[in-house]
Amino acid sequence: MTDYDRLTDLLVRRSVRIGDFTLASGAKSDYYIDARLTTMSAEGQLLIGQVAYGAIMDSDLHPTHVGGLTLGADPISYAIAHRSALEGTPIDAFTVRKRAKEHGTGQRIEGGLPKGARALMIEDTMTTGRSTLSAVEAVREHGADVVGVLTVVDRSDGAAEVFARMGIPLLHLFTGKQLVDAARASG
Amino acid sequence: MTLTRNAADRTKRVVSSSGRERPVSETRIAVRTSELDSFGHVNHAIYLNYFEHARFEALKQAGFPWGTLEERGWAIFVVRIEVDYVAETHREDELLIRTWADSFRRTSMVLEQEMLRDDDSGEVVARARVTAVWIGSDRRPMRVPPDVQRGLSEGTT
Repeated sequence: MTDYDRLTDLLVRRSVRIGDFTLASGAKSDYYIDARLTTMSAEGQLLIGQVAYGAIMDSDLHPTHVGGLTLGADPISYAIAHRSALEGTPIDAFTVRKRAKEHGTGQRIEGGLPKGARALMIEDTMTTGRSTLSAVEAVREHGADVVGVLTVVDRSDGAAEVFARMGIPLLHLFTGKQLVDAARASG
Repeated sequence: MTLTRNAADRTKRVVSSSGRERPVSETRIAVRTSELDSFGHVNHAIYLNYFEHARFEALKQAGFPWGTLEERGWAIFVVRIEVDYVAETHREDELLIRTWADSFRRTSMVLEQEMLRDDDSGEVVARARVTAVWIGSDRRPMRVPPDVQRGLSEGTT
């Protein structure tokens, strides 16, 4: 069994629910994925780090930093950073706040993202990609380059086209359909 | 990591971290008496030798025998190994080691391995995750040879 198989099992066991749901976008769906039940679990931290790090290394994106909109992206970004240090090729993490802090430095990006950094944007579950776009803008305004987007689950509802138009590669670890099929197969 | 003693599947291809299908190399090993320790089972350090042997076999099956490395003055340095020891093995046990590439970087690769009983139980006895760097004749890291990456990514058949 590969790490990828183990992560599939964990997502199916903890995060995938079959039934009638209304998503944040208002659309109806016959399944729901609460990725955080996996990404914040102990085993999920280990496996997400290994699998996402492997997917990044196998891509041509060569990010120096990973991060995204708090809070869905956070456990994934930090797991990747942790794994990257173990493997000897550090990729630092950052967090994008939903809105700029109103006190202190008033910054929207936390964790130190240098200007000119090669940032890979992280998402847990992506439907239309709209919420990721606001994080992409924040990172660009900050002076870093966005080299791509990585989502754990791509629900395949237009996000790929949105990012393709912007010339931003979208990596996914799983599609929604793939997980639903695995959930149905496991009963 | 859950250390369940599940039966491993024995498919010839697996899905790597980036969702790519990769070929699985298989190597069989029979335990020798001299490999047992004072606890009467195969010592944990021996598993590292088994895994190493299986990695060279995987390279050979990918079309890259050890002799080729020697001819070209190349080496492969292990820089990190993680092993989960799951079950004991004993005298005369027959083991099957499955090896596949998880991911590649410019000069290194991550290989995953699992060792299971070569019988109907298919019980997993250990798993390993190995990061290795390719070293050129100047003893400095070199690019992973494209033919190796191809062999380990697509298989040779």
